[in-house]
Amino acid sequence: MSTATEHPTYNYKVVRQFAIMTVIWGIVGMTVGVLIAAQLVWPALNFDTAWLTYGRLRPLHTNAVIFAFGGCALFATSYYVVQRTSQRRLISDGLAAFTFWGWQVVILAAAITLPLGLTSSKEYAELEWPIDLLITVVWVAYAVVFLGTVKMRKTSHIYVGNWFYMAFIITVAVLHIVNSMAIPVTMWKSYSIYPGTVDAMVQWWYGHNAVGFFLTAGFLGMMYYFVPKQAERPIYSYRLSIVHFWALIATYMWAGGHHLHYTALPDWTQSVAMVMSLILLAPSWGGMINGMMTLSGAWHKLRTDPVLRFLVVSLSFYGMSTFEGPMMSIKTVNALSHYTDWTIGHVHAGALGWVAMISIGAVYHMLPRLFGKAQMYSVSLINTHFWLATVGTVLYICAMWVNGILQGLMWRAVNEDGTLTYSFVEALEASHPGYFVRWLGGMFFLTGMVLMAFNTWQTVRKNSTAPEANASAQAA
Amino acid sequence: MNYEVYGPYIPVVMLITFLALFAWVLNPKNKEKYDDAANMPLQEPDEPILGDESNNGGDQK
Repeated sequence: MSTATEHPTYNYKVVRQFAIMTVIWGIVGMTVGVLIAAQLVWPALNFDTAWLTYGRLRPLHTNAVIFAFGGCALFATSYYVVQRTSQRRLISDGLAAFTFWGWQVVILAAAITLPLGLTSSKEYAELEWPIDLLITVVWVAYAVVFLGTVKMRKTSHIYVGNWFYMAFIITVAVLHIVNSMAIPVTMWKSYSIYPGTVDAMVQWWYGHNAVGFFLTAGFLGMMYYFVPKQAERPIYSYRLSIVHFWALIATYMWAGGHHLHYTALPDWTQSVAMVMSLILLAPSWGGMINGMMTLSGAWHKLRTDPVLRFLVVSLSFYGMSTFEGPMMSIKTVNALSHYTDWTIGHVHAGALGWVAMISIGAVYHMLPRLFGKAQMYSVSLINTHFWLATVGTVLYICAMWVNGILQGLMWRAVNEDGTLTYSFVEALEASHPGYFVRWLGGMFFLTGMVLMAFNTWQTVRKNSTAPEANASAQAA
Repeated sequence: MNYEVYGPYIPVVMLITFLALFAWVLNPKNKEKYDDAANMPLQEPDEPILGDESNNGGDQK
C-alpha cells in the first residue's frame, strides 16, 4: 500500500466543467423528451415544422440524455474517481481539456444535424460519419487520459470502480468503431458496410452493449465509489465486486440478439441471446445487493441524507430493471412486449431510475467538494428533487406498463374467423391516457432537474451563501 | 466446425471459467488485498482541494 502523505493536486477544473454540463445537458435532453411526450398527447405540438417532428426530435432526445447528460456525468465522475483512488493527477491537463471541448462539439453537432434530418438511421448511433470520426478521436483521448492515469497511480491496487470505468471506455471504443463502419457518399450521407440481417445484428450488438457498458458498467463504476463514500463505509463485499465485474462484462456481450426476436436473425442466435440475457440477472443482482448491503448498519443515514437516498433508490431501480430485462428477453414474453410501450417503460426505469438518479446523487456529492463548500446551498431542495424524480419515474413506468400490455393484447387479439379484433388506431386511442400520465411523469422529473440547476447555481456562484468548507482543509 | 457441434460446449467453458473465478476470489490468500482495496475511497480525507488551476507540481509528485 502506498502511504502518500502529501496531497497530490488534482485536476478538478475538467471535473467541474463536466459536472456543470451534466446539469445543463440533463435539462436540455429531458426538455426535448417532455416535448416529444407532449407531442404524443397533443400532436399539434410539432407545429407542422419538419425540424420539430417526432421522428427528428426523438433521436435528439436519446442522444442528448444518453451521450450529453450521461456522457458528461461519466466523464466528470470518472476523472474525479480515478484521481482520488489513484492519488494522482490526470496525466495530461491538455488532453483532458480536449476531451471536454471535443465532447461539447460532438453534442452541438448532434443538436444541429439531427433536427435537420441528417441521420445514419442506426438507433443510438444516428450521427453521420464526420461526427463519428470526431467521437472516435475524443474517445481515444479519453482512453489515453484515463488508462494513463491508472497506469501512473500511486496506490498499489486499481480500485474496482476504475475497473468498471476502464471496461466502459474500452468497450465503447470497440462498439462505436465497429458499428459505425460506413461508406460515405457525401459530406452528410453514408451507408453501413454491413448487409441486411448482419447489419441488424451488428446494430443490436452495439445497441445492447451501449446499454451494458455505457449505461451500466460506467455507472456501476460511479456506484462503487459514491455509495461507499456517501455512506462512509467500505463496499459490502469486495470479493463480490470482482465476481460482479467479470461475470457482467463476460455476459453482456452476447445478449444483443434479444432485440431481434422473431426476425430474420437465425433462431439459434435468438436463443443464445435469450439464455445470456437470463444469466445476466445473476451478476446484475449481485452488484445491486453489494451496493445495498453497503448500507447495512447505516440505514439511519437515509433519513437525513437525500444524496444517499438518490444513490440507494437508483440501486433499487437498477435491480428492478435488471429483473424486468431478462424477463422481457424470454421469447414468449417478448412476443407480447416487443414494439409496445412496455419497452419504453423498461428503458426509462433504467434511464431515469438508475442512470439519472445515480448521476444526480454523484453530482450532488461532488459539487460542494469541487467548489470548496461544506455542502450544497440547500439540502432540503435536494430532498424535494429526490421526491420529484422518484414520483416522476414511477408515473412514467406505470403508464408505460399499462400501455404496453394493453397494446400487446390488442394487437394480438383475433376473432374466430382469424381477422384482427382491433385496428391499430383503436390501440393508439386506448393509449392516449397513458401518454398523458407519461408526459406528467416527465414534467415531474424535469422540474426536479430545474431545482438542481438552481441549487447548483446558488452553490457555485460568486458570493454564494452555501457554507464554506473549513479553512484548514482548504489550506491542505 | 459449426454451431451445432461446438454450441453445447460454450456453457461448459463458461461454467469452468466462472468456477475458476470463484476459486480465485475466495482464495484466503487474497483476503488482505481485497480489504485494502475496499478501503481505498475512504482513506483520503474528504476535503476540497482548491487552487489547482496552476499545475503546482502535481505532475512531478
